[in-house]
Amino acid sequence: MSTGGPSSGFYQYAYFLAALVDNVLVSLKTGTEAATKHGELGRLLEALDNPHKDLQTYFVSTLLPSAADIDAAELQRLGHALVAQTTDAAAISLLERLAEVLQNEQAEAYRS
Amino acid sequence: MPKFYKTNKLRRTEARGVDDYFEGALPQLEERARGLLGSLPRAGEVPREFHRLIERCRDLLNETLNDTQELKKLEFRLPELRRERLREYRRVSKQLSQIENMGVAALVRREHDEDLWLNRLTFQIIQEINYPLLPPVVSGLSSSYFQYNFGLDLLSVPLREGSQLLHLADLYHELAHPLFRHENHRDERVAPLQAGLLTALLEVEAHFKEHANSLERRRATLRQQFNVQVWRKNWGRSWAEELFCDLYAVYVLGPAYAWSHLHLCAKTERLPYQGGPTHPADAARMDVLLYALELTSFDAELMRLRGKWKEFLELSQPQPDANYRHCYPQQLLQALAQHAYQGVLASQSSVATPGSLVGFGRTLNQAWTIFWQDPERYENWEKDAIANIKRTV
Repeated sequence: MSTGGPSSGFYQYAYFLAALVDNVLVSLKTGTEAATKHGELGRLLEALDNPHKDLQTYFVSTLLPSAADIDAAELQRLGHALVAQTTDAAAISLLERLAEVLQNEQAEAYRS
Repeated sequence: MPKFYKTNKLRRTEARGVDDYFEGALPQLEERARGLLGSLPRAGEVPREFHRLIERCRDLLNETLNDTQELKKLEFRLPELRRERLREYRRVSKQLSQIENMGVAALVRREHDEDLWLNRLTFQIIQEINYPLLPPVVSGLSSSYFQYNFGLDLLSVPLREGSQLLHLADLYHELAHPLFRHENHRDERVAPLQAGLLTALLEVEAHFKEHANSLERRRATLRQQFNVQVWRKNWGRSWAEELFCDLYAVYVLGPAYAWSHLHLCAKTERLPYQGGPTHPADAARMDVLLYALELTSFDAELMRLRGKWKEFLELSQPQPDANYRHCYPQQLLQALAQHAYQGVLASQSSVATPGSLVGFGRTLNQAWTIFWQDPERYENWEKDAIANIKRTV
C-alpha cells in the first residue's frame, strides 16, 4: 500500500522499508522466524557497498546513513548478519534507530 | 513454549494502559474493514473496467484484517514491542482509511458513465504511447487535482475533469509515476527510465555537494548553507522524479502538456519561482518542458509557448527569487531533459514529434491550437471533440 502522501518513488520506498524494518524487529524480539524478511532487508543493506547500483539502493543510501548518522559500512555489517541469521542485541538496537529515522521520514512526508 | 512468553510474563503488565487502548481500538478497525468488504459491489453492478479495483480493495481489506489479527496476538503486548505495535497500527489504520476514502468510494459512486469514459480514454492513451505497464483504474473523485494511489492502482481526477480537455494532459504525467516504482525496476522497458533518473540524481547530488563545499569555503551564512541542504533533500526525494514525470508526459504527448502546465500555473496562487517540498517551482518545470520541446523539434510551438509564458511571468512574478538560479541551475535542468529523453527513447515509448501525433494525443494538441486561435469558438469545438472521442473509445 502506498503512503498516500507524496507520489515519488522515494517516499513510497521509505514506506515499504519502514514496514520491513518493523517486521524484522518484531520477529527478532519475539524469537519468531521470518527468514524471508530478514534476507530481504539484509540484502538491501548489503547492497549499500554499491549505492549507485539502482534507484532503490540509491534511495536507501541517501535515506539511512545520513539521517541515522550511521556509517554505511555498519549498515552493511547489519545486512550480512541478517542474511546469515547471526543478529545480536546490537543489531536490534541499530534496527530500532533505523525504524525511528523511517518514522520521522513518514511524518515529514505526511506534513508535506 | 517460545522464549518470550517465559521471559516477559511479568513485564507484560507494564504496558497495560496501551493494551487497553488496543483492546478497544483494534476491534473497531476490524469492524470497519468487514463493513467495507461487505459494501464492495458485485461484479455485475459495475462496469468491468472497475473489476480490478474491486479485487484490489478486497485483497487489501483482507490484508488489513490479517494485520489486525496479528496486532491482537500476545507477543505484540510485550513492552519492548510497544513502539512497533503503535507504528504498525498506524500503518494499518492509514491503509484502511485510503481504501475507504479512495477505493471503496470510487466503487460505490453511482455515476459511472463519466468514470467509464476516463478509463476507456486512459486505455487508449496507453496504447498510443506504447506504455509498458497496465493502466490504473481512473476515478473522478479526487479532492485535490490529479493523484495516483499506488496501493490501489487508482488514479483520481477531479469530478468534472473528464468533460473538458485542457487538463487531461496531466493523465500522462500521472502515468509516469509508476515507472519509477521499485516493483518495476526489472522490466527492461522501464529500466532505462529509472536509470536515467538515477543518473540525473547523481548529477544533482554532485552539484549540490560542490555548491555546499564552496559556500563553506567562502564562509557563507548558516542560512545559505541550510538552504542548500534543503534543496538537495527536496531534489533527491521528489523534485527530480516530478520533473522526470513532466518530461515523460511532454515527450510522449508533445506541447499540449506544456500548455496544460501554463494553464495550471495561471489558476494557482503559487508563485512561479517558488517550489514546495514535494514539487519543484513551476518556472523550473516549464524550463525543462521547453528544453524537451527543443529536443523534439517543436520549434513553432516552442516560440508560442515562450512568448505566452514570458507574459504570464511578467504578470505574476516578474523577477525570480534571489535563490532561484542556485536552486534550479539551468545546466541541471537541461541535463535532466537529456537523460529523460534517452530514457524515453530506450523504453520504446512513442515520442511525439511534429507531424507524428495521432489519436487522443493529436486531439489534445489540436485543442490548444484552437484555444489560442479562436478562444470564443473553443468551447463548442471542445464539446464536439469530446463527443467524437466518446463515440470511438
